[in-house]
Amino acid sequence: MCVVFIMIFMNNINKKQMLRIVFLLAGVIPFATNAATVNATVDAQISTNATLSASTGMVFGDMTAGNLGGTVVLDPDGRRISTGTVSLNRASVSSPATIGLSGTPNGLYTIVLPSSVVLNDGGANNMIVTGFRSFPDVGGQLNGSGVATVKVGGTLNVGANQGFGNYSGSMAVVINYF
Amino acid sequence: LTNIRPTAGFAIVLGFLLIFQWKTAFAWGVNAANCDQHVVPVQQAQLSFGSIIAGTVAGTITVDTTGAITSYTNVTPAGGIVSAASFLGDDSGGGGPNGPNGCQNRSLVNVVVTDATLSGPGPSMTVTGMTPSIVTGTWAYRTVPLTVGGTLNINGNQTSGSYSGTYSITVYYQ
Repeated sequence: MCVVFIMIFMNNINKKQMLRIVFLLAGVIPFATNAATVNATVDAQISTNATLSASTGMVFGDMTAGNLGGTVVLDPDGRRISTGTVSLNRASVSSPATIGLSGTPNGLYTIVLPSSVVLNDGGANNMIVTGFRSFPDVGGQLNGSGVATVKVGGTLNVGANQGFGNYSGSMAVVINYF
Repeated sequence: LTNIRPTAGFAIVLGFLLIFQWKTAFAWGVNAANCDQHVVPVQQAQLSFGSIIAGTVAGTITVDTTGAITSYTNVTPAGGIVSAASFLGDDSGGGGPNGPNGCQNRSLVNVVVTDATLSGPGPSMTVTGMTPSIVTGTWAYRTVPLTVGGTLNINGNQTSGSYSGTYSITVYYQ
């Protein structure tokens, strides 16, 4: 197109102007601009602004170990059973740990439970709690009002002729918010 | 003679043009043949704002071209992966082998990045103020990433969850 343009107006320009155009073209053609467009992605994660609103500890209640020992299994829903020679005092109070969460409505969270916790009677006797389970089991979602409750149970391992006394320990439950 | 001067002039000019075109073709053939390849930006890392806790009123969070959070208002950064977008140039689509070193750089004349709209479980969010690390000058596109930062605009009480979207980047070069 540039060549045609010059030829049409050739009669109206002098040689000096013509050379100027030629050099002008020489400067333009080799430096033509190129462009390339691509689509790219972007993301963000809006997290739940949540706090622990309340919590109560796990209570296995009163029991008798017996000569062989055994276990006390406390479900997140509060049911309690024993195995081995362990017998439960049904009149005593037992309860799973309860953790109250509050925060952004419909916020997501996950639960990380401890693998084991040692209970001690204040002296030389210990018992170990294992098999932690929670409800919901691995995580959940705050409700439309931004509230949720997590309950945690576990299995208490009672030794043969386990020493009398009150045993206690502490467990850490990690709640991750998204 | 007066009447044929324009014709002579025409012939001379045509001669100049032919010579010029031949020289041009020669120059491209020798010095710039492999530089004529099309360079397309290819995303190496995406622009990510990480995890954010929304406030009760609208807020913003800005990630710069190095991938750092440089400012935020009415929201709280909460970790996660935060990064600037990163692009290298791909010249494989232009045909021919890679050129000599001089051909591996491009002179940028402009970089245009559009805004983005992110969709997710709640109201959409926008990313504005897209900022490229290079706009003009030499871009060694095979080794030096062109990075892009921007500002995420978050609604008050933004619903939690994952949000994503797209935008376009146009690279103008010589």
